[in-house]
Amino acid sequence: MSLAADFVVRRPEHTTTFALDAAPGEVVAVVGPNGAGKTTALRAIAGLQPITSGSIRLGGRVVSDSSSHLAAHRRDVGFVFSDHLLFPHLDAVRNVAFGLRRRGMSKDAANATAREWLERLGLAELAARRPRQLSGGQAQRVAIARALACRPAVLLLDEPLASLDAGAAMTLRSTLRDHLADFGGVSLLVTHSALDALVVADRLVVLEHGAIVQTGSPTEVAARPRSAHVAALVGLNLISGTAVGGVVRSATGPDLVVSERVDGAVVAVFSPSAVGLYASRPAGSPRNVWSAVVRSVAPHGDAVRVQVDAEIGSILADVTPAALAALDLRVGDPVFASVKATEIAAYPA
Amino acid sequence: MTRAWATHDPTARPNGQVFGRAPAALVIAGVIGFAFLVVPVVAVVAKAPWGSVAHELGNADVRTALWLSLATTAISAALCLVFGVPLAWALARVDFPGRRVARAFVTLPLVMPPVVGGVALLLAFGRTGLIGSWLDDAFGITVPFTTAAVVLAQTFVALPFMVISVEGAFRSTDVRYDDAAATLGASRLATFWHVTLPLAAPGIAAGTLLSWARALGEFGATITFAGNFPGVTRTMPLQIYIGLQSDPDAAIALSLVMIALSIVVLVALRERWITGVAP
Repeated sequence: MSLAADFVVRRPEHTTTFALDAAPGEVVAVVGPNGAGKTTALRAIAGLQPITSGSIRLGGRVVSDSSSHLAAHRRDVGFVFSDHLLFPHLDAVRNVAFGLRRRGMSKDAANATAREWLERLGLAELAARRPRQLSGGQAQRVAIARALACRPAVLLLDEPLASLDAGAAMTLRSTLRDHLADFGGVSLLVTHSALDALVVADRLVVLEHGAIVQTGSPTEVAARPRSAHVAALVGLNLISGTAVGGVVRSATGPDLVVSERVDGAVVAVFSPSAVGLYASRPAGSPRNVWSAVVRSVAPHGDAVRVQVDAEIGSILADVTPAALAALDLRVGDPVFASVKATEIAAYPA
Repeated sequence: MTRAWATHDPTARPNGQVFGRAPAALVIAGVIGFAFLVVPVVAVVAKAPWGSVAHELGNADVRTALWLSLATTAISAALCLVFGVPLAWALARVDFPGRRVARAFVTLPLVMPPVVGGVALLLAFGRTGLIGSWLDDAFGITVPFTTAAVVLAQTFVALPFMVISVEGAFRSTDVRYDDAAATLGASRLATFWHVTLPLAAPGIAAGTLLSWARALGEFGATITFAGNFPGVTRTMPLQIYIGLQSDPDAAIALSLVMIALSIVVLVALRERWITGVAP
């Protein structure tokens, strides 16, 4: 079943506007900073949150609009919560069988199906355990099995890896990718992590301040981010402003010279490896030079990632360890940052 | 005495180390309050006719009262369970207008004198009462001064204990388990049966025990609404009151039984509090 959503949820604290058409089998990641309305959007689709206007359709059937609301338990929607919410009084098998039982399946058949799902997620030997006897990663696997076992038309995952340590998140991420690829319905994955979005999703929806700012394939969005949040997510520098014939007048500081002839509202994006750092103002070719202050220094792969507060905004720079040693940079030191115009991609915002 | 209390109570030690010794005025007042609660119970045990307790409890009147109390309180506790748990659920989970007022009415019998509760029950279920006159006209049913009246009086005073205890249990379970159940296709009723109720089980057990204990001790509303007829409405508290005038030893023996039952209830609740949420 397809999902067609276009709605507004107005609440006293914030308003969330969300729109998405997704075909069966599609995996859509919803990314954005905290408080952007990601969870609200998911809850509205699940039927746990009424909408103010617009509509939500599942397989052509209206399940939410401004005047009607199909109760959550009548929608064919699965939900995986960030803190798993396994029922503490039931063991893993009975947690997974819960939805099947509610759909009228006999106890034996439901338990047998639940065991199959646990096996599929590599949890066969933990079937008799209660949630508190499971690790975070195991519990989240059981929660995913519980949601998938009902074979919902739409699977909603609200930061399923957020509460796990890095190792557990890594293994569960690949499990998730495999199972979401096999899953025939629409999957919607809310996440904070670029890795989740890039590894798991076919499409990205970027939500900020309760509104969608960008949608596209992960590679498109990563290559041409339209917001500072996404740029930071994929590890790029982004400066927005107004361009007049190759010069971007930034909102925050000095002008930025780019090699492309663009006009109007633009975003300029450049990689941290395109940024050079100098102890004194460099002479010669670089057109974009800003004085800056070092904010943080951290290893990043083979390079060292230096975050600096420049006149034009906060910028990431990747330098080699040797260069860093030569510059002798410490947090709080003054430095000059430069970017060649040819290294900057500018495109309409 | 004061010093011994301050140094031997383990919970007093951390404060003692940080803030110095507990102020004498507070300790003395606390000890007096404690003694006031404990001495009467000790007196019953000290003054009990230990040699003849078994004999007194074998008395036919006493056994009748005991049996009547156990039977009526079991029914009262069951009624509290059947009606109190859904009421607690509504107060905890349903956002209806006037919920605060409703909760105030639920707690009213807790603070109302039981005798007044008996009068109120008479005015409601008495032969000329609001509901009683209709019961009499339509079915020829008369409630007051029957065993049924005993059960109603006990339920009236005990129900608030159930509701408050269970509402607390419902409120302390994460309401998002209800969300999870709903996304798995559970209707609200199914969620109540399969999620909310099991998660609140310890609170429901505690509420049942508390309301049963309250029903067992009920005197004022019972004697006002149900009267004092041997074998029909004369429960243990009434038998104790009557016995104190005619046969004090029987009254003391019955009091011992009730103190023992109270201690059993306390221990049962304590066990629950120590072990926490079930297996």
